Amino acid sequence: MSTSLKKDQLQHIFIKSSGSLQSYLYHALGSREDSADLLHDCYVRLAKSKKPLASEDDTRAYLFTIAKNLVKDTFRKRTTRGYDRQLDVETAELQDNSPTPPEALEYYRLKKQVKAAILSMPETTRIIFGLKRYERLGNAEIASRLSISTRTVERKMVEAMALIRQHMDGDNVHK
Amino acid sequence: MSTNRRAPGNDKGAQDSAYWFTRVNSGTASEHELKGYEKRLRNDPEFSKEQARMAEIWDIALDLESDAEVRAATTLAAEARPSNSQRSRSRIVQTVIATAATLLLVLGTVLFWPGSAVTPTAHHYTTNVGEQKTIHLDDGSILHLNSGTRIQVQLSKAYRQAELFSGEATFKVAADSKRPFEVHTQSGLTRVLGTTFNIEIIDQHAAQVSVLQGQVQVVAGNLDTLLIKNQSVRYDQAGLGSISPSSSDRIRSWHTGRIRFDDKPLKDILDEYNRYSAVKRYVDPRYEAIRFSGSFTLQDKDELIEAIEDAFGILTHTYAEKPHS
Repeated sequence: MSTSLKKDQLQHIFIKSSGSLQSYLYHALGSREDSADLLHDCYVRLAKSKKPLASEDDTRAYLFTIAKNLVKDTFRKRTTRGYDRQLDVETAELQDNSPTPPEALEYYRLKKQVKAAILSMPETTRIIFGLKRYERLGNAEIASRLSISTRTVERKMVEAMALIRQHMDGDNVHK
Repeated sequence: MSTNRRAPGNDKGAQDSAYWFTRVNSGTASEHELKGYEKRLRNDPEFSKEQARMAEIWDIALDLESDAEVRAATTLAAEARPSNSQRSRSRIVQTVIATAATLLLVLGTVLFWPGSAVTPTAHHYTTNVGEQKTIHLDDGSILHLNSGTRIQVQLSKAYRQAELFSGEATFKVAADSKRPFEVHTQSGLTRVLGTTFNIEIIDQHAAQVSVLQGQVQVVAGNLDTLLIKNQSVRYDQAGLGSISPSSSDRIRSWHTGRIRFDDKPLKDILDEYNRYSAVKRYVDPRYEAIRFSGSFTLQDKDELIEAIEDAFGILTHTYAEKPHS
């Protein structure tokens, strides 16, 4: 598809991505309230954007770029004037340096790395990761399904995430 | 499990980061742990960067749900799906499946239908006319019920659902990406992605949703829309009205138990008064446009009527006395 997405399509993608985005914002900011506010700002900026977005992946990449810029901005404000959680959307707007092409590329690159990392996991770890992420099971459910302890499930999940994280360090040009 | 392809310090960092991320996401972390976690995030930029990175990984992993290789590798052999190798499947079908899968995550795994086999206990809450209540639900969500409200709430592992039958309620929904919170009314539903919003039943067929924080999805007829902070929409069985600014001030003010008016026409003020009073009042239509500022609480609401009558030298009437209709 070479035409850019319509407003309602963008809105739909936003709804779909908002869980992930909010989680991202929460883990970046350490505040549920701030993350809800910034999520809203992400939406406003997506709605206002004149950026032609051709696909869902491009849109997600764009949304994450917006989120990253907003996080950066929030940190800057926290350090310069303490706890001011009201974010100045206008300032954030200026920092928005037309992201899509490089950002989308970066997104595809990360996606490849994460995929490679998952495929490289030891079997048990991989299965547990799948049950958690794709079957949406809780730790206790996974433990009983595989007849192992909850503690082991927790440990394997840490291992899985650490492994993916390590896979992302460094290699920039691979694949 | 440790590998030696990187500096140990780096491994340790990744371990620490992965530990905290999975801990917080397990849903079993204590309030105390969460507080500490949040404090560290705010004070340690390196840590927060790492946690954000983890959240990104977690999201990208989800995006890989539609990747056949990844799914095959992460599925127990006994449960492996036969469709793995169907590479010829059209792109459209793949996209549809991917879309449906992602949607499922956001909407939660099970949507509740009335009459479904496993339904958890339904809790009923009501307020009389002139009464307000605040309800703390087990999941951490808070409901403010306004005058004359009847609502039923069900919380299960897979979903959170409420049915609003009458009145008005504000939902401060505790974030839980695995369990969406849905509020049904006679004519539509509002689906929540962790936020604060208000629903007012207008009449048997219509309701008004207003968002105070975050955003919600509203579905009515075969239309749906996303509503964000300070937006409001009215819906009925036929569908959705147009989006308008929400009367957030009015909603916030009823939460405090004091209803305020700032230069409002008497008509609006009496409509609001009538919401809280079993005895309904009106004024002669000629006076409806007179503007008035003031406030009342549920206990002293009749003082408002006296103040209005004194200030303008007019009388209010109760419905029993109303000459027509």
